[in-house]
Amino acid sequence: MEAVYRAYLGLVRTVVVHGFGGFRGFRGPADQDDMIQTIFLAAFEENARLRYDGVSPYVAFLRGLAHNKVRQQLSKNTRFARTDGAPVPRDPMAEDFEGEVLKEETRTAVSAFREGVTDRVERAILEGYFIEGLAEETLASQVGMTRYKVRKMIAALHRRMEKHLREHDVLV
Amino acid sequence: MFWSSENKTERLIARYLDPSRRWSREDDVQMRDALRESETLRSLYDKRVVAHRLMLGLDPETPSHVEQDRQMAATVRIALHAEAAVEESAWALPTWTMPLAGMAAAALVAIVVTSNPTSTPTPISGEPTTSSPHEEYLGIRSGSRKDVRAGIGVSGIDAKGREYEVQHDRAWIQDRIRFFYRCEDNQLAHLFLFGLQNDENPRWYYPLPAEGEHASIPTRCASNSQRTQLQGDTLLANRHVAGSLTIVGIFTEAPISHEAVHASLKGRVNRILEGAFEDNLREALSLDENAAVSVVNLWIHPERGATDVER
Repeated sequence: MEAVYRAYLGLVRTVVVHGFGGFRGFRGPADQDDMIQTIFLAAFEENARLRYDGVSPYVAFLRGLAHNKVRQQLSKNTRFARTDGAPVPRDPMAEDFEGEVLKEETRTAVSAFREGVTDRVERAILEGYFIEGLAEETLASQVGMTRYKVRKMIAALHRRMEKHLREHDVLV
Repeated sequence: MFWSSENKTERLIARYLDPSRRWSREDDVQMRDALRESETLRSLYDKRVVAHRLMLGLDPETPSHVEQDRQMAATVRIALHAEAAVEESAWALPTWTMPLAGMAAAALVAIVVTSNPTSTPTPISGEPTTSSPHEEYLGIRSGSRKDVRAGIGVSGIDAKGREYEVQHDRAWIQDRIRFFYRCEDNQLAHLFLFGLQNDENPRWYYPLPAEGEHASIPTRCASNSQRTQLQGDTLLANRHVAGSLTIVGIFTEAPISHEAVHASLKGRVNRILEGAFEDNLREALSLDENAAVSVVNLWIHPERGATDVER
């Protein structure tokens, strides 16, 4: 399952984030992440596994399943319904997602965190662990530290991130 | 009670992004369930996640590896747990009871089917939104469908979200209608969908200018193609009134602009509705002969329970 997830996350993410047909994709990470999980859970169900014939490309099968799951979600949830001029609740993120989530000045301040991490080892851990997804052991050998120390630095970096968010009023 | 559960979810979101803390299947299920229920919590999650991504120098739409690993591990654990639960429940039922269970299920289905009250809309779909061409009944649902290359279909959705066949070509005010199409000619790459009532104001569906759409939407036409459901339902309120509704789907090779259709129909709707409708429409819109026109005629009733209007 992990192998399938890793191999096809890109495809499922594209369907969910960028949409298909007349659908322009889910805007907020909460909806996107929920949909991605729903699609993979449907693909991992025994019935779905048995339905795949093993001969045709799995990409096509998974894409079809993803489209169906997205359509079901759009149909059952009035948040995503077309308004038709009526007071139907709508996805508040639809128009200006980034502007809605964080104001421009906050985004700039939050983005500055990375530049503030100037220590070579900390920077390597920030990029290696949080962005590239390297294992602690790999990072430890790369930066010449024990795994325990790397883990401590990961936790410390996370605490700094939280502090940074509090300083810029993203966290109360 | 509300505040405590909200605070709990806030703590879960914080933990989700903290790689030094454990993240279990139960945590994930609890957090996602809470997010589905609350707009406030979804906004909080979006804010935290976007901030997390920006701090790492990522695009707001690109998840970090911490997020991806968390989500993958939780998804796999949830899938394995669900499978184990199914196996456990299957074993919990002694083998000799299986035939009895089957008979009981069949009897239950029979009771449900025979006791279905006629006044209640009949749900016609739950799970799949595509079906094989053999199961398709678009032509029947759409009334007569002269052009076999492409056709539109309509179903109704009541206030409780139950989908019903537009039996006898009728729907109700305050319900929603859902559109489908099937198209086997891959050259017909665009669909323009609108409705006409007995006044001069067309009801735009796809494209819907209020949603920022200004031209036909792309289709997925192909030989042996399946039925495609259009995203979003249309509320039969505000713009619609009780009475006849003629829904028109125009499949074309090139997109048609809303502006052009609007200009062509202006002041001519009633004339088009009289007589040879399709011919009138083709002439008014200057459609070439490759374009396919599909028409569904509905009668919109006033609120449920109210006396039907005279046809």
